[in-house]
Amino acid sequence: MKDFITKFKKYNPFALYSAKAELKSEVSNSYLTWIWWILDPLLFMLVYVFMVDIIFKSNEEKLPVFVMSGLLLWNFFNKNVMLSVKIIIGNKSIISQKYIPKYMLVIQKIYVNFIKFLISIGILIILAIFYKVQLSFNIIYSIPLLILLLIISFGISNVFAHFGVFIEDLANIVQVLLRLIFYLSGIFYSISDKLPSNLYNIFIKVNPMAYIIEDFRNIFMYQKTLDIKLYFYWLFIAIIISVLSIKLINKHENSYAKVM
Amino acid sequence: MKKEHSIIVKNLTVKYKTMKSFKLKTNIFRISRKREVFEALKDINFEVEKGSVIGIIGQNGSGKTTLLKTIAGIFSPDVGTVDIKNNSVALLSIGLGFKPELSGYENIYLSGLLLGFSKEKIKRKIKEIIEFSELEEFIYKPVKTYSSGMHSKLAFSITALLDTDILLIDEVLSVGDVNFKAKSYEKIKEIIRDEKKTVLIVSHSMSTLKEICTKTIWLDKGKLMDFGDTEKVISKYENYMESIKK
Repeated sequence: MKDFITKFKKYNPFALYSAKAELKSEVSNSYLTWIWWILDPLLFMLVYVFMVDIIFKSNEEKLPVFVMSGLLLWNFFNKNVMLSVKIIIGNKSIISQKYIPKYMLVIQKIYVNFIKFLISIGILIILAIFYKVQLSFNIIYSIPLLILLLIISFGISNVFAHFGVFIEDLANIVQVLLRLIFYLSGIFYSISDKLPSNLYNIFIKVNPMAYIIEDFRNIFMYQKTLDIKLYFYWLFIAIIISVLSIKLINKHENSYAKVM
Repeated sequence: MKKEHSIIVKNLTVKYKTMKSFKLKTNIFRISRKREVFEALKDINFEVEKGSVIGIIGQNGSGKTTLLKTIAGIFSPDVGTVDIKNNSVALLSIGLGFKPELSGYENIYLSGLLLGFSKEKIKRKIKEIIEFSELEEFIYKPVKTYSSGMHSKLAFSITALLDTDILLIDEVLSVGDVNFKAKSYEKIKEIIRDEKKTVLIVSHSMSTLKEICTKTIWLDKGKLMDFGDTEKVISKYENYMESIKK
């Protein structure tokens, strides 16, 4: 743990600068990129709203806000995990020449995705005002929730970053897995309404995204507070995964360069 | 008085083993995979005094690059230790080491930060680096648009102008065009004159090594054949190469 903090301090300037440069080059490569950062979640939201409203006849009020809040949390998690699978091979040129703790590459990507995530939070707030969602000071509770999201994304991404080096077709498997979790996370439906309560209780304890999305909506749309018990349950798991994944990477990282 | 050491290598063995990536699709039913172990370095021992310039010679595949990469911390030893006494270390080798989609300018920062320098220090040096690299306005273009010569010029300029305590040079003394080659050779000599810096050079040019190295390491198939006075080691090496020619 101490080792992690010293390494983090040493290499964080690199991750920050690299994230900044990456965002900048994305914007300058085509004029429309940053518009896509806004359009992409908006259009997907519309697709799900259309599907849920017309086909499944949802009785959810303020459906666009409902879907959007789930979708942006999911997108952040999804992108981090998906990108982590190839992250070490993708940075081959740097890894074969200089030493860097490999989880810093994961952190760098999290920075990039987090900026995009903040933009979509902005869209969500505009949507919420448009649909007259009552915003309250309870929104402060979303901060610990976002911290949990960051830690769990970091831990899980690390694990896939490690195995992605050795298993060439891991990306395909992860894609299917993520799709499954997507449908089980209640992005366009409410798991607490649609699922029988015993199933719901299991879901919320095995799928972190189901919990985070559920609690985020409670805070953001319905002026509730955190589910403290579940929060600490997940925080504990997230920290355990992160610590173990850092150990895993520390143990093997110098053999990554030999595989490639 | 005993001289201070900046690199101590003890019983160093580096293996390439079982580390081939595989596809689950093709391997899921195969329970035991054949494990190939290849020792790139076998039980190497040596010490390098601070401020010295060491040449490394050997045939292709004798472990020269592996040795440099292990000292740079990119590979870890399977057996033994490499102690660089908290010195900062930079590896300079042909091409790579950059993020291709970012500009040369940004890559100078990234490389510098990875070598452990502060942003302020890089800021102070960056003008000098760009000037030395002769890239001019290309420095603001993505590295993927560079020719291999430009690539190497940039890599050389970054590593040579940021001061690391230990400099590892992997066959890059012939970078770029004639003028740049002469300039980089001068720069290397200047670095070598600095008594605080330790330099390890891999090269196939015996005349260069004779000119600048005080001592030389000869590696053959991962084993340390000899370590000592440059002239002597090189003549032994040349005799050996002559003898296996037939």
